[in-house]
Amino acid sequence: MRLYLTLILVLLLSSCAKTKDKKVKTITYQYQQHHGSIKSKRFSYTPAGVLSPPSSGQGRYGDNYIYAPHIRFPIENAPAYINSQVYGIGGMNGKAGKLCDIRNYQYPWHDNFCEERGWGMPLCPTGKGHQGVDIRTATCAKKRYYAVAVESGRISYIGKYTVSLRGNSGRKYRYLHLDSNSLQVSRGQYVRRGQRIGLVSDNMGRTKTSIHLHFDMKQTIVIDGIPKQVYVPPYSSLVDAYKRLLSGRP
Amino acid sequence: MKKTLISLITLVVILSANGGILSVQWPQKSSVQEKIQKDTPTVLKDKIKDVKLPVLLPKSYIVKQKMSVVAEKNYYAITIFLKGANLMISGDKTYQMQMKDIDKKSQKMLKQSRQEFINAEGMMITDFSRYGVNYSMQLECDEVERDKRCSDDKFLREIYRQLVIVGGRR
Repeated sequence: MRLYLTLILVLLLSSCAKTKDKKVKTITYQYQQHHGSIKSKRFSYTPAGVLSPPSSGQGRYGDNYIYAPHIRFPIENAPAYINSQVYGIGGMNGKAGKLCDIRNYQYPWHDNFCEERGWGMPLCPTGKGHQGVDIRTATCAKKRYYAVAVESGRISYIGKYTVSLRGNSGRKYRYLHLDSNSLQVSRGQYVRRGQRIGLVSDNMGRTKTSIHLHFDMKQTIVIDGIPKQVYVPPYSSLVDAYKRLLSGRP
Repeated sequence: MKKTLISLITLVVILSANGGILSVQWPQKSSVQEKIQKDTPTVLKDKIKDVKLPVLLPKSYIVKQKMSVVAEKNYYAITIFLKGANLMISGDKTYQMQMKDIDKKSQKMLKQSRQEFINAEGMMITDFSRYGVNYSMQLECDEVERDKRCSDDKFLREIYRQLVIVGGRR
């Protein structure tokens, strides 16, 4: 009897989970562009924490908190696309095809913070996951689109394929895979919000990756008097920043 | 003067939103510590003289290695240039959020979290809290897949063990 009840409960729960997956809605944001005439356009995105495909991991569903308010979108111009590199078309665990497939370059956006990875991430539901989001530029062209400073602050580090910016807020932002020869900044330089940093590329030292910007944000949260430095979800902050960029008020 | 004042006001406004400055728990002075600080090159001492938190560096890298220093009152980031890799060590005494600002589930997750040495995006990274403030170490290699320093935590753990205070203003 108990076994039957457990089975029924499991079946009910799994059907609920499936219904929840189906209910995931795409949010549409309408904006107007002024280029001589006024054109109405749309940008759409799935909610924060909803990873695509669902098998790509467990995101922080329901966490719509804007951890970095008023930041500038890290790519100079729209459009840009937040979606998975690993699970996208042509990705290591994605559908067969080319990385430059046009379907990777369209809305809706999909959050990929906490996407399945092997490394520890305190704020991910499974304790492991992707510590930032991957952003594709308007097209698959390499070294054409600039990444810009999301906040005014100082360039704290330039490595083999990483540029770190410490914002005036104390928050730390990392830009990965920029083309090293295109960097417009130097170590210790003070940059203004929106200032160009470098061109988005596929740089990963002597290894190559797909053409995209990995962007993450780290901040300190005081827990029981102990400061903890953690990667926080950037997706909602980026959705907010992108809406402002589209509306001409970056 | 005017520019400095505006920057200061902006910084205070930003930090007072949810964050602030952590208070440093300076360790007691010891003769070993004093010797290390005495041996630290003057060039490095000058660059970190205004940093108001303990500046940590690995003992065996203080004198010999080529490095770049970015330092402010509440923050520093030192990049040490190794053969085929960059090692960055940073310290920060600001915070952006408090426990009350996050949900209960996240509070629990953070309470349970411990210091880890992780291999993420081809780098070895660790974050830790010491003397009441935050520190980070990041090792980035030319050869992401081949260089064991970036795929195995052994090298970074060894550097971590060597960390000593080389400066900072009380």
